Amino acid sequence: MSNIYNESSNNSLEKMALNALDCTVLLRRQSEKFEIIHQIETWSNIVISKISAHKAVINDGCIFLNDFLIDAEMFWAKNQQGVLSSGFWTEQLANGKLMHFEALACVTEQQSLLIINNVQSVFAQQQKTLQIAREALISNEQLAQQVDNTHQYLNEIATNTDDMKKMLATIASTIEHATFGIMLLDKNLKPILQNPINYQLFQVNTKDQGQTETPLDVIFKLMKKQYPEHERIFEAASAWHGELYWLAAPYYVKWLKVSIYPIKGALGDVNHWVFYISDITRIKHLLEHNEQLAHYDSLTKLPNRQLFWNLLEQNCSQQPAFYLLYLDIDNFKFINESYGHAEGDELLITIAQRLQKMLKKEDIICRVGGDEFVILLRNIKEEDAKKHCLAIAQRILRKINEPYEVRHKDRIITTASIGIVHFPTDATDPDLLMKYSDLAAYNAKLTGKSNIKFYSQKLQQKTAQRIALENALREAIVNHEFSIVLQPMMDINTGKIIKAEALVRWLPPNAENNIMPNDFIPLAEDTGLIIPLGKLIFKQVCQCIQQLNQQGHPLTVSVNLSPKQIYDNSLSHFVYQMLNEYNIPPQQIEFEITESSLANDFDLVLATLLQLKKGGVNIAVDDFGTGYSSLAYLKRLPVDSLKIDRSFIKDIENDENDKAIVSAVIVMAHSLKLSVIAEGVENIAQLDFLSKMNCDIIQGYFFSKPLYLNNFISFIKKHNENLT
Amino acid sequence: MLGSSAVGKTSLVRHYVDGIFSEKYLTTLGVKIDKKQLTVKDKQFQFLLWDIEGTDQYAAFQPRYIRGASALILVTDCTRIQTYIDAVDIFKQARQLTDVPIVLVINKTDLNKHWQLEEQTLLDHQHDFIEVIYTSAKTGTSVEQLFQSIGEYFVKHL
Repeated sequence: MSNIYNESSNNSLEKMALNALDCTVLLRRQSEKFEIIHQIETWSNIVISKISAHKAVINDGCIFLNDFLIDAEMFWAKNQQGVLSSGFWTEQLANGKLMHFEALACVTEQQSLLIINNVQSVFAQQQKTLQIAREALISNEQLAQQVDNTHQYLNEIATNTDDMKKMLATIASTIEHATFGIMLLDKNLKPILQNPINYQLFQVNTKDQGQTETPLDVIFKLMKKQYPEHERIFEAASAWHGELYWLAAPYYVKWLKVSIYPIKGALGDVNHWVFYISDITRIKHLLEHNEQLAHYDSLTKLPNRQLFWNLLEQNCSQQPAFYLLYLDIDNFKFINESYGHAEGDELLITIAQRLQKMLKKEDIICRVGGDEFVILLRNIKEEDAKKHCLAIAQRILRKINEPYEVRHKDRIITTASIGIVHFPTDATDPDLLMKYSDLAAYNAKLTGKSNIKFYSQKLQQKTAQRIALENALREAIVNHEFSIVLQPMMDINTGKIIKAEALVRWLPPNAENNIMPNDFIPLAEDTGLIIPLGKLIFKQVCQCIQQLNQQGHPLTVSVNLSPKQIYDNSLSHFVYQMLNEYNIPPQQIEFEITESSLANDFDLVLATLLQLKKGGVNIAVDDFGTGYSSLAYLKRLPVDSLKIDRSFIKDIENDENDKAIVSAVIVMAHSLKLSVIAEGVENIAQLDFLSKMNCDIIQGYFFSKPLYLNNFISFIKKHNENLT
Repeated sequence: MLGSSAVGKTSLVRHYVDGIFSEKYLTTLGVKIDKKQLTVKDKQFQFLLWDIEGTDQYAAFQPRYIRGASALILVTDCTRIQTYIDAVDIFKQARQLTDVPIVLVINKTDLNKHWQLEEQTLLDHQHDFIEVIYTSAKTGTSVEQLFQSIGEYFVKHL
């Protein structure tokens, strides 16, 4: 090229190029003084003033550019190659015309340049794109707010009104006048009430009784095709939000935004379902003007659900095997509510960035729901593929577990659950792959936070069994299928029975054996059923104490409190209401809390315990030594006694470590003025050791197994006779 | 002028500077600076109003734009509670950079929809601002008063 063009033609080419780019180029000579390298005569006088033929300063009136010079001067002072952008700004000319510019401070070959670009066309294009995106964003936000407000209102009415007619009369007007479709259904998903907008959305004539396809039919049909994981929502009584594409050819093409909520009664059982349906076709249409926005999630910039389905289908049609990981953030709702939506959004962006950094180029990651991500792991070596996949999933969980710093310098810690399915071993169909991965993620969540589960047929059966058990438990609470057994506790020094622990047994009708607490209490805790169950148990315990008192055995009875019960605001009020009703002195109740309850939110636990204690009941720390022990916490808690966990007592005759731990706990507890109860005492050797160590109370099979009330009373009578 | 996108920052400036209002929403990109003279108790002020692109998931808060500001006007939309939540967030970020007076504007009061925001929540934050003003760029309600109040603040405090 240099042979063809001489220097002057080179200059003229550069000039042509700069003219084409529509930019004015200034070379910084000294602070705020520039040499003009190139200028566009038609507009450069808006931003610069010539002070000689080749020298210029920035116009005083160009406030934005003068302000940018402060940053530019600092940037040039560093003398490092690079570019600093001012961002867009707008100048209004005397005739009212608007001109848009962007300034770039550059350092190249030790020279400091200021390039001012006329960005008229780029600005217009970006404004158009952002205009669409922002209009869609606001429409979505307003719609979500309206649905939220309506749901809060309906939920409150439906939860607190038993009388169906009264409830319908109260909510009819709200439903009627809503600007989006609402369907109220019974627990079996049979419609009770729908508003006119809902019929309009589905082009259904309300008077046409012969209509073959109802709005609900359409929704279920679309959900089945587009959200194969939807069945679990109804089985597990979860809320759901999603977008459905409805092509009722040749007449309608609609995008529907659907929110589904269960409305639960006091027992956590579903009384109704409510569906909110909005037509978001226009919003989608706006977004589709821009392919990037249509296929990518605007928050995390990851492929969205629509693009994910295309990618999943493509991958299923090609043969190489892959793993599909369904990742669900644990307690995201809590984070949103506690820290605010802005922080929640920030968290999702960071999670997306962390995930992206961890994956290989050939892997695919998409955001498919509010707090749900899907990852396709491809090109995993066939040998030990499952092991590799597990290792990656574990790495992902560890990365997610790292603290997040949000805007106000708070540190949020979150976890996630991952469900994994393999193509083609577990399924070859995209719908089934999604359904199974969602099921596995659901099970991972159930087994605690930060878990990974691979899909298997056994897992599917286990889920079905769990749902059946949950339903049976709910029925059992309604039908009062529970009994109380009492296990005596003996004062080591006097040999007297001074306390008893109340334990629960579940005997379902037609069942031969009791179901033990370990088989249903964790489920009750997970599902929230522990609240009504706990109240039922406490009422039955009060009835037992009343009978004991009437028969002259005014013992203290200890009752277990689970973490969820401690967080229940109505606990203290209920306890004292029952004690009052059955005329029981508060000293006859001892609540046992586990160490794990203390670890969750100490201040809240402390407040609840102080409130309970204020009324006069006793508090014991159960299973001491197995959980998160902190002497500092113990000192602050209004605790009366410690129960040493049975695992330390079991081998106490032979295990020197157990001996040392138990001795130390007894000394420590006594120094804190707490009495000590040893549970799981099964033989005389254990009793002798505990007696030597000055343990106060023992409980265990050596002395007595848990007994039904009548047997318990007989046992006390006999025991007391022996003592005398 | 700070706040979420589409709260009416540009409309407030247009109404104050040019006395016009357009129903059509046109999103702002970057910054546009307008000038307006104001006289308060015989004292002359020149406002340089920096109308800044709304903060949302497409545009982050730019600390650079508030450098050198004498006052900040934080605008919210009374029909969208999220804009108030965003404003509290912007307020916190701005306060880390500057201690200039801040006015909270609750705009679009001509629309017959309001936040489901408890008065107490607003009251809790009221002391953060030199004034909380309810405006309508459409009808012009309290738009003059907004800028006047900033002028009066400077007459009183400078």
